[in-house]
Amino acid sequence: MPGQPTTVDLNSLAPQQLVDFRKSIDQEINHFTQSLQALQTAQTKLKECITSIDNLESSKSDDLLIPLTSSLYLPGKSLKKNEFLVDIGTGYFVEKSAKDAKQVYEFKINKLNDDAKKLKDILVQKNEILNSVNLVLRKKMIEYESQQEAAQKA
Amino acid sequence: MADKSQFEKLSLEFNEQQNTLNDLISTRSQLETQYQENKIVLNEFDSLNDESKIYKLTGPILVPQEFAEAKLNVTKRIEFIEDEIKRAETKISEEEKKIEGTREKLLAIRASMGA
Repeated sequence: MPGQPTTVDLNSLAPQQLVDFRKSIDQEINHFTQSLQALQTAQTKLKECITSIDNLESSKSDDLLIPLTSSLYLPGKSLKKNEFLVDIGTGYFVEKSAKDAKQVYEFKINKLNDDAKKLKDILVQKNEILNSVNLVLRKKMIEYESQQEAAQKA
Repeated sequence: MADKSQFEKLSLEFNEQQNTLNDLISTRSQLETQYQENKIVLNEFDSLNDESKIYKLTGPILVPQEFAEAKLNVTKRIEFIEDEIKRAETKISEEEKKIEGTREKLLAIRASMGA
């Protein structure tokens, strides 16, 4: 939600409105947490790509096992060690040297890091709002109860 | 009684409109994902040149493609997606107006029923 310049005093809201408000914040927090997790999985995948390139570069033999399925492998040999096909998205692949390929992945990882930071900031803000809503709601409940008690005595 | 049946009809309509709006919004966010992805690809193309070997994934096979052609394709696709986004947004605002109208009608009927 874009930050709107109009401010609303939480204390002026009815309890039902507060509950609804809390529900929508909860949903937002859930949504953002999920996005954050997705970002982290994507990062791990990209890091695996870099490790694979490093492994291939540092290995002295050309032998490798080619996976046919996840449990069936064929022995093979790599002909070139400095040419990689990098998936740059939407079905396009580009032939790149090990250095360039790693650069692509590192760039992506950094971008994801920035996004994750932004998301974390938003999450912190949302949690603060959630806390203050909870606080006001609790206060209202206590007020309501004491009013009821007073009414019973009268 | 006429009020009551009309009220029910309107609230059904209201729900339906809200569902359409939700569908439209998810279409819009899908378009945004595609748009961002294509922009990343275009960025990547900017750092490449005619020498680069580019392949396009068609089904399970990689087909070699000329740099210029690939870049043109992606640029066109981005334009197409931009148009789609504009269309989706006009649809969304139209639907929002409709919902607002139905809501006002609902409130009016509820007020007259209460009276």
